[in-house]
Amino acid sequence: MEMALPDGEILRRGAEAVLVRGSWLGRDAVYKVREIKAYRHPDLDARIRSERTASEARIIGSLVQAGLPVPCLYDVDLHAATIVMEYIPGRRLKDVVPTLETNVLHAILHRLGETIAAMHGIGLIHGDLTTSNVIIENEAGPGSIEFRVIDFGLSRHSESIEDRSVDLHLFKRVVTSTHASAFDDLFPPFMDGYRAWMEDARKSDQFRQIETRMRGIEIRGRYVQKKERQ
Amino acid sequence: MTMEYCLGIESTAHTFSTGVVDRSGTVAGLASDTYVPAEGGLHPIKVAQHHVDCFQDIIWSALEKAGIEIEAIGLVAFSQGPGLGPCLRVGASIARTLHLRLGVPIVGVNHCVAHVEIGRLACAVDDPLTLYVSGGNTIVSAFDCGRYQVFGETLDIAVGNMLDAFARAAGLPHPGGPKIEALAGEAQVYIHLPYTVKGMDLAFSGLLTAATRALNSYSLADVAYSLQETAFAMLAEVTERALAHTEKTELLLTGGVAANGRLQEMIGLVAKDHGTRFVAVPRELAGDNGAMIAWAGILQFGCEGGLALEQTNIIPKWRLDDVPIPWRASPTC
Repeated sequence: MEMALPDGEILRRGAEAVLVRGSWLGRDAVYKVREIKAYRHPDLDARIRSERTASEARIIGSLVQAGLPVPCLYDVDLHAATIVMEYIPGRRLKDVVPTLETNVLHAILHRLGETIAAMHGIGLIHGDLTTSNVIIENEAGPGSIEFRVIDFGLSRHSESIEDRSVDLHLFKRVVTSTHASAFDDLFPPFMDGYRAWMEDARKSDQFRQIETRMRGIEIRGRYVQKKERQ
Repeated sequence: MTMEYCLGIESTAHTFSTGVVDRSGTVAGLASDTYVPAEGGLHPIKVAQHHVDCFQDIIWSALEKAGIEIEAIGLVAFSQGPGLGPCLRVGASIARTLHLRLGVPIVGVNHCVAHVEIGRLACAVDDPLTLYVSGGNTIVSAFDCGRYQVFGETLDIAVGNMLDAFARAAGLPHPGGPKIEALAGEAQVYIHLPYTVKGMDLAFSGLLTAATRALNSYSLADVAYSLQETAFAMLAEVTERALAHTEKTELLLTGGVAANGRLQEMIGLVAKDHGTRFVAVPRELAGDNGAMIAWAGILQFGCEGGLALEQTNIIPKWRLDDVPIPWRASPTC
């Protein structure tokens, strides 16, 4: 069965879904459509698309309610595996990393760290935090750069230290692999922001557990030598 | 440099293999022997003993196939890691002996780098996203910033290890992959099993446990089929995510599990969806083999020269992304 995509400009054909720009009750909107994947078994495919659509919609709702910088949720259609949400004009963090000044980058990553800490604070794990999943809204100038976190297709509820640590570990891995030369401008400020939020929330003990667990996860992974990676 | 032929020695796991490759990348001779346990899994000491027992025959056989005398060897390369310590030590000892006896340079090669490099050579691709799936490794990697960066990998066991362990639990002989693939063809129903993808990483141990338990309630063929469908869909998803993320235009499938027809079909479909050129490394060069070690050795020797004897210690836990790749230009850094 082929699904018809909504009319409109295809913004991005990602790994999991197609993002189509359109309108919803007169507002600028994005239709996120999880297309059928011919490569996997139809039962598995239906399960993955429907479960992830429902879960993503619920999670966006919770994040909006918590006042975190994510797109607003407009509509959900489980049958068509489609979520309609607010359109965010701007560019992906991945694409602007080389063009931004170091201090601006530090400020963004610090606040991104705080945002992820706040997300973890309400019991949610992003699950796919990458520099492609942060949209820098059309820049107004230093100090006033706004961003939104997107793509909650792999997000889930969890308050465990392990899941939070894996979330941060995955982001570290993405920064290492995608922005190897800018690592120091990205990951340390991100972790500083995360730590700052945790300290403000009087959760320094938890933060220390997470830091320890992150080292544990690295060592647990395949083929990590005892020495710290450079 | 007078080196015409490089002799590569592979001994990271159950396969002992020797390849003879010339400077242009032609595989002149390749001989291998794979240890098959009578029962149970791979015991490192027993595998190492297998390598000790067969290495002379394998080396002579590779030289004979290449039609050269051992004196024609100008460089010795060996798998320095990652792998099973006792097995790596056998290959390293043989390489050191040849180095001293023949008076030729020695280089230690990263096994995972060798898999990628032989794939680039054999499939004539330049800058692929690589899905490397075997008994010991499950890695999605692409070149950036002077290294083969790891975008996704298993958080627990390798996919081939998972298939072998399931096969053992189901009473199938080692190696399990081909038997599971054959059984899957006879299946009637798809059973839902745990599907664990975390970003671009994946985990297989929960799937293994659930599939093993499912053997109590479903036919072996149905479980084998569902296990393959679930595990390979996970691999396809992380590959697709890495492809969308890196925007590479070539996709390379390699490692022992790359021989699986269903996996090739799925990864091929992912590539097609993204307009990406898909290649699978030919079977004889996809599994562990000495030719890939020889070829990676040639590349490495050209940039870095040989190792001193005291630098030839094995590195059982050597990450792919720890290895500088000076023979490839790195425009982004």
